[in-house]
Amino acid sequence: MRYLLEMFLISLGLTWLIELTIAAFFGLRDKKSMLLVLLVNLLTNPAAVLICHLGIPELPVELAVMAVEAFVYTSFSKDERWQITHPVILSVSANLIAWFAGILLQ
Amino acid sequence: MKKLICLCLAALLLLTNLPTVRADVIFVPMGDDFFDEHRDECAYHDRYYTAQGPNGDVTVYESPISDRVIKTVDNGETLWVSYVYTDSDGTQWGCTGGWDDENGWVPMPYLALVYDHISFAEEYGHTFLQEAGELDKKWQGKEIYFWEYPGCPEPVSIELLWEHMPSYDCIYVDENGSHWGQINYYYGLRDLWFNLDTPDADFATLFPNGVEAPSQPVQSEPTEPAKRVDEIKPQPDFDITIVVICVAAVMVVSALLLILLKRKR
Repeated sequence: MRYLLEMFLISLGLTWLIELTIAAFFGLRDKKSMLLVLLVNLLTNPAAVLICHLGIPELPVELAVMAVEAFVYTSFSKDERWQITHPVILSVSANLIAWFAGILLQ
Repeated sequence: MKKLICLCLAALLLLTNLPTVRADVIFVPMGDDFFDEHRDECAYHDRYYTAQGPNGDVTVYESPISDRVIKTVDNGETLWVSYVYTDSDGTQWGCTGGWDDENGWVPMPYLALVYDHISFAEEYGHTFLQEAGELDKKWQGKEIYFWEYPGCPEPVSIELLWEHMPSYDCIYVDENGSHWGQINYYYGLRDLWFNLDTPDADFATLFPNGVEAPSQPVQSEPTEPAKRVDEIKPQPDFDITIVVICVAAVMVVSALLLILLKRKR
């Protein structure tokens, strides 16, 4: 049980760290934007980790995560106050980098 | 003082070409939580096996109750099993890994035993003669060969630098009429044999025509089967349904918070 908990926490922690950094490059630097990034990843990351743990290959799971995050960012980008100009590119690049970082760390 | 003695003994062991022979150092897996918690249920084993999984490889798991994969080992590769644990289903799990390798657990049914001194005793024990004795003093300071079992392919030569000579407590006479003595313990070496007639003779000298391979379990070729079959897997000590419910709850909460965040801005 402990290793499963560690797996969830480490994966979420690293994803938050990487995706917050990438989001900052895309101009999402204020507190609410950072909270948005944290919540988006809280929505997708534990589910993705669990699905992969159950034996589903990583690639389709990662593509689904990108799609969900792109959808959320796009819905937020319609409000100009969020200043999200490239929601899909943000989602794809953040997830690709986080994914590769995960592979490297394994 | 105790530390100094231990260090000296350790240095002595290193100097005497020991890595390939059995010594009396009991291995304890470090950092293995499962082993620490189930130490009393783990039997010391100390035997070598070759991987023989039904799908061309053997999966090494973190523990018999954790399905985290440490690595996979191709069929035919050798694994050392230090301890054996039997789970509630009666499946035996071997603790594998060594001093500098990450520890893991493998289902024993997927391992084929490498012939060793125990196998030899099981096969020829009934022919052993219960005669005790000691190697002649004339061999002191000379190199003699120690064998895992008479006829093993890689005997180890060791210079007898010690005051006492190796003693044996039973004798085996091989098909060539050659006499072998078994030592139980000699300066850290355990359960080895030496040739009583020509202790300094190597494999080629004693067995110029080679030896018939000992009876081993039939090993399949390391090939990938057409279809992967279900393998023995660890039985996790938690209910995956609870994990799924927790993750679903996290998703619902984060989705609600996202909706709230969107409305508030």
